[in-house]
Amino acid sequence: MRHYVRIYAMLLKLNLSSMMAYRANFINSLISSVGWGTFQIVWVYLLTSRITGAFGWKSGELVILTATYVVFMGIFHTIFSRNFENIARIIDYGTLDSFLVKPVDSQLLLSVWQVAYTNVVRIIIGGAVIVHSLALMHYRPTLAAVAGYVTLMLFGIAIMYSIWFLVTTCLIWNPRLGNLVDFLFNITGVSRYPTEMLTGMKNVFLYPLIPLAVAVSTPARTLVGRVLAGDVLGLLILSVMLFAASRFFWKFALRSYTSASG
Amino acid sequence: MRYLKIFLLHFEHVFENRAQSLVWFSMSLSNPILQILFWRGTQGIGGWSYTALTSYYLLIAAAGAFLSSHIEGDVYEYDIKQGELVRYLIRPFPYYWIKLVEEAPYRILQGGFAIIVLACVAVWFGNYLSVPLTPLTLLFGLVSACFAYFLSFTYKMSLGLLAFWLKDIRGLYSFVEILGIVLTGFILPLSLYPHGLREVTLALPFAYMIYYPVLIFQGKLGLAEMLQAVGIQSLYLAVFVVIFTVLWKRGVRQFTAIGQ
Repeated sequence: MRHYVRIYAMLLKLNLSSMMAYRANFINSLISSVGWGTFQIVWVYLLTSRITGAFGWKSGELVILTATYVVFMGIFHTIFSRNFENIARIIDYGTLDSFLVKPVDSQLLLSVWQVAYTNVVRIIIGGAVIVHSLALMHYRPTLAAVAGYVTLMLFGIAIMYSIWFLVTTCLIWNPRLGNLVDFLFNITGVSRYPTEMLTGMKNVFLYPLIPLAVAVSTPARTLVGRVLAGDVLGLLILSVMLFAASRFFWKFALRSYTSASG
Repeated sequence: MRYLKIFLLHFEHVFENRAQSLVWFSMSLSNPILQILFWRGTQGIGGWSYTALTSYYLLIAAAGAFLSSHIEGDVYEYDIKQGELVRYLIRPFPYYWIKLVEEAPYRILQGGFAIIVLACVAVWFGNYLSVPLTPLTLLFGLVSACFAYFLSFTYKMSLGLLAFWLKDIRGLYSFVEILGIVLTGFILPLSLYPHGLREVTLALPFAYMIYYPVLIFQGKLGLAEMLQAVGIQSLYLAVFVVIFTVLWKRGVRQFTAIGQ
């Protein structure tokens, strides 16, 4: 374990140096992060400008749900998503070999090799909107609710990570389909909506999206004091199951990896 | 005829990678579908019934697939930054038109997917799609869609040409993409935006790239409004063509032929 902590600390340091060295890239990434973080907030304000609530969520709570999504994706993009963007290229060019021969778990290394520090700004934007919205609603969450919010968000991130990794693993068989990762960026937007929107439909095609919605809405419910024990249990079970599935599927897929570029 | 041959060659290539196009199309479809699901619980807002809203979002998805050009990344990354522009400069075709012929197959294939989806919705969920087409709205809709595509294409080409002067414009592209989503009506029909923002967005060229053609197909505009929309589209197109021409003439003079 200490070995992995030391490696990750080194990766954090190297990524920081890289960010400092390429300033134009840093500024561009920063503009992009601020833009997308702000967009989500503008989006929910526009959507709730004509309604008082939806699916049992008041408009203020919908804003908190979206702001939670912004924080959530800020963390996810900082740690993981740039790596997912690279996996397609790594598999297509046959450079996955260099990851497989290292004396470290290949899934871990592929997932955390690059850190996108500029996305921290999304966490700040989302956090500020949450605080502002709670103040507008005259609602002060308890310490337990805040602790639950943070803990459940970590489990939610495990769900999101597992789903992304499961889908990205499919690139082993079809490396040319690199835009699957773009699709993931897109479909992840479902997490901004209340889970009830999907569960209420009772449509089998929407069920695969439910874990993405649960990952964000459960922590948000905790913050506004509306969470049920079943929600928490569902989130915990889903996160463990999906993470185990991502491990198993990666090892299974590697058996088909030919080491030749696509 | 020469352009047709080039178009067919590109279409062959695009069709070969149709799975990739299907993923792109799924992306443009996913958000409108989520919006449709979101508004399911409402009885309609601001004079829009639920059927009108679902039709709007489905048409927005189709218009996004058909009419939204994404050529700027190609122009910026491959042609100017990596120097591929040389290949185009030595060919006896204007750069603008050859890029149009290269991009059109993507729009046609993704638009084809959109037509299939609209047809499926019309057959199985007819209540959710209301497109009251008359010969007049069809005519104006098609003319407006053509203008919208050229508007979007010329605007994105001009954006791509900024790479002649700017070192790294990915941040700008992200910003432009976000503006596009907000100002073309992907979130909500622009007429439902809050007062002030609504007037601004309705006047900007972005509304004429997607929003107005969709309104025409939905039968929400009268003859005078349709004429006005097409007239303003042609004016905006003229402005963008001038901007493109100026950027191209100035930019290509300082192109180093080994990339920027």
